[in-house]
Amino acid sequence: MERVINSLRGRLLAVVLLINAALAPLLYLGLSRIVEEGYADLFVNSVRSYSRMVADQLEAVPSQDFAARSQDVLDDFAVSGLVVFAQIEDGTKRVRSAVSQLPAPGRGEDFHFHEHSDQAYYISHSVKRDDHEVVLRLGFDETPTLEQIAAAKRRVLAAVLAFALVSTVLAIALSRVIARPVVRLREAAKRIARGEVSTELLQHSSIAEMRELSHHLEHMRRELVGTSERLQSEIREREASEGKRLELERRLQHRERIATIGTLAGGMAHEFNNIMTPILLYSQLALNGTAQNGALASDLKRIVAAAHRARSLVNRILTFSREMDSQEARVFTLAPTVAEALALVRAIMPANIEIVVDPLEDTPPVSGDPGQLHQVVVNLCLNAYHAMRVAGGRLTLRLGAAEHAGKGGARERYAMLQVADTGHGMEPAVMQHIFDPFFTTREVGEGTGLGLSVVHGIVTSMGGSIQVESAPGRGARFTVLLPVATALEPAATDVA
Amino acid sequence: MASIVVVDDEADVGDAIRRVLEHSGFEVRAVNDAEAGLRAIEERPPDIVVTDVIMPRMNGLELVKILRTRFPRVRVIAISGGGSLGIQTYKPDAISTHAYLAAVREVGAQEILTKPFDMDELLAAVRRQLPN
Amino acid sequence: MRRAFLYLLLLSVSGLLHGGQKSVVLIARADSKVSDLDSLTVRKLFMGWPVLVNGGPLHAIRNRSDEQLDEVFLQQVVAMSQSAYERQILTGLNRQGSIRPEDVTSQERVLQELLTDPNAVSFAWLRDVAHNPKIRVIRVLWSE
Repeated sequence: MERVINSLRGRLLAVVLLINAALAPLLYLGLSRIVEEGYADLFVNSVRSYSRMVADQLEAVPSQDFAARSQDVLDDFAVSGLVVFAQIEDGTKRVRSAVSQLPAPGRGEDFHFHEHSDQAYYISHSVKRDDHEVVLRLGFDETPTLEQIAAAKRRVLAAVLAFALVSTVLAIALSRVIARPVVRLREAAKRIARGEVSTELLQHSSIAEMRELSHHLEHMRRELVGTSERLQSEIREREASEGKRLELERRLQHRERIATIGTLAGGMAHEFNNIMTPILLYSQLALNGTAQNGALASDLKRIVAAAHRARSLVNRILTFSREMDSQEARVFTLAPTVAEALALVRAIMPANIEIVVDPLEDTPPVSGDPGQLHQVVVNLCLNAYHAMRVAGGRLTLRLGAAEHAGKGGARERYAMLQVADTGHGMEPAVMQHIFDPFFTTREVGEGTGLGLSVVHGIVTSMGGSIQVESAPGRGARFTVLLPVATALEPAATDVA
Repeated sequence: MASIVVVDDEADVGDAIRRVLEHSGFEVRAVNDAEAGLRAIEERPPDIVVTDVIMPRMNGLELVKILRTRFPRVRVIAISGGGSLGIQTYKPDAISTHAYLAAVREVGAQEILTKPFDMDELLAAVRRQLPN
Repeated sequence: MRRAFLYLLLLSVSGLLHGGQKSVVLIARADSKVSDLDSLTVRKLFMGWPVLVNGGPLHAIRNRSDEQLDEVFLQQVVAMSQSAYERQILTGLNRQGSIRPEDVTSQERVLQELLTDPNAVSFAWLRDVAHNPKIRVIRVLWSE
């Protein structure tokens, strides 16, 4: 019950019914009053006019006939219209119409309709005769008017009741029209709340405000659904990238396992090479001192052949391990690789060349093949060594991080490797060509001229850049910038 | 009679090389590390030094570098084990090997042999470095 | 004490004269030219029709100082209901350019108007004007 009262329809109905309950009696009373007054006014007006007319006519009746005819005159008036009582008083003499149905009134006359509640309206007029005045008294029947009033009141009551009924029915219909879209919106909202977010909120309604409301709600729903879909797709993307990350991690682990196997295989191959060397040499030596056709020679040849097979097998293993090592890019920091290359460079450099490592701090991780970077370092150092071979000098190696605008204009971080020498330097014309293949300033037989072009190729393939600053007699400085590996790929630990 | 000093930390390898060269009529002294090799060379400079590159303490490259300055006439045949130098010793690495070969050439080794090599390859390399 | 008794006696005498009978009378100024008006002329006057006495138009004043007086006026003089009378007056005003009788709601005002205008005619309870020497009763309109 409470639910019905609290519902929109219930409220609307209750309000309309309350208005009807309060207004209908007021309306009835008001209309009845108007009807009563109207009828009374009409009655009073007509009886006043009529009695005045009667009085005037009586005045005009000739004197000689008056006394004799007064009875007939009164009867004439009494049989027409509403007159139910007629009497002429002349002093103590009274003439009364024979058709008068009412007794003589006790006193005076009426001035208001339905006065004295005697169902009659009495009027008295002085009628002037020749020498004196007589009084004409007329009584008018009020009952027909009273009946008319009662009938009119019944009609008013019926009309008011009909009005109340119709307005109630209309209120029910209207409340339904108003409530239906609201109820539908509520149902749709419930479904959306249950997760059926594609439920449309648009409602057809003849009420403009309802249409507008549902339109706005639908607009809002689409916005929200769009937002949630965007969020969901973002979540999916994140899950996908998480999956990608896991896949990368898995592949990295796999690769490292393979690399470990490769390293082990490489190490074993090295040992095998050491072992194979005396086997080959001794068996060949023995073969030399043996008669070529003897059974011993044949046995020794088999040893040599087996050793050759073993050598080719080891080479294959080495090739495999190298491929394992270099077939995929690794994420690594420069310092360990540079330190390794530096050990080689230190071995090469003569005493008149000083090697300065300006602090060998570690760099941000880069992506690529450490072996190739190793080659870059060695080649750059050899280049420096050639520039300083005659006069000696100082080779400075520096590692660090740099930052400058990338292709997109955004600041990007780079790992930096710098190799500087105090050698003879270069002419600008030479500098233009140093990265060209087979370009060399060295004497014939000193070098292939491939070194710097190989460096350039490797650095470019790693997505980095190389710059050179130099002037004749003032040395040269090579700066290699390598892009920092994306954070997604975890830095690979160096294979021990 | 040409004189040859063989330096290899692997005694088996050094001995085998000595046996082959002696068999071919060379005068051979074999030692197991670079310092000993250097002492032998200082004692009586040979015509040819056959040296391993990767050895503990002083490695072959350093030895070759010293020879280049102090005994420029001595010919050097370097023997590569296919490994690399430095921190990650014995880590086979294609580029390192190339770099290593380049380095050995830079410091002045005339010949490079990769283990395991045939007797004939060794003898051919030796004969190429002899004056006549 | 004796004087109070005298007043009481006078009052009772006047009560005998007027107490039993209530009359509405047509009145004018004491020196008014109006001698008598028949009931039809009175009705015409209060319906706004021009009524000439000695060449001068009469000035009708409707005395509305008392409700019963007004009802007597409506019933006896114009013989209409209030609303019908209003309608008639308005029709006359609009169609024939008749003069609307002046509505005055206080007895004093009625007397004052009558005294200032010799052509003015009004009506009142007889008892209110019987002892006024400045007012002349023209005729009895109604009595009971």
